[in-house]
Amino acid sequence: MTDFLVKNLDGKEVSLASISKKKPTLFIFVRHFG
Amino acid sequence: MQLHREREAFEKLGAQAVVIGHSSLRYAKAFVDETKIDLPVFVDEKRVVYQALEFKRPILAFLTPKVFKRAAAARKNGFTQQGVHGDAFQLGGVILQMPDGSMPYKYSSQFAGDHPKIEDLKEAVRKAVA
Repeated sequence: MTDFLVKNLDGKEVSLASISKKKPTLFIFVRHFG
Repeated sequence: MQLHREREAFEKLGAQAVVIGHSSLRYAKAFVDETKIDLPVFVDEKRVVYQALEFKRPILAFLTPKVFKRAAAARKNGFTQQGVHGDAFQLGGVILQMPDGSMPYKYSSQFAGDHPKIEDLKEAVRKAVA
């Protein structure tokens, strides 16, 4: 899978691969914040 | 979404959960402040990942009785929608990504309020880590 970048709350870009590097990760993509 | 309430259950299964939204950092921070959610929150401001994962963006996603039914159920469970920031038509979904980069599970919401069942997610994690 191609890796993608998102931003953490500090505005720093992080990749999905780096987030899930240590353990299986459920990425929950929400329709909206709120 | 009630998934954050299941954080410990997923941790026991060996997985973690994170939330990604598609509006701005400002709204993401407000979301965290207001909800006190204890999951990591990230932002895909330009919906690049949403589009790459082919999550739906149907204009008519809101014109189905299912939406109102799910909204009523959500309110009954204590969830309220404060407003929509970002692209109001963009739907979400859930993927399970493994440390090796594989993606053994993907759920794409079909309409607003459509979420995978928690038990289905747990089963997907169980199978993936077995």
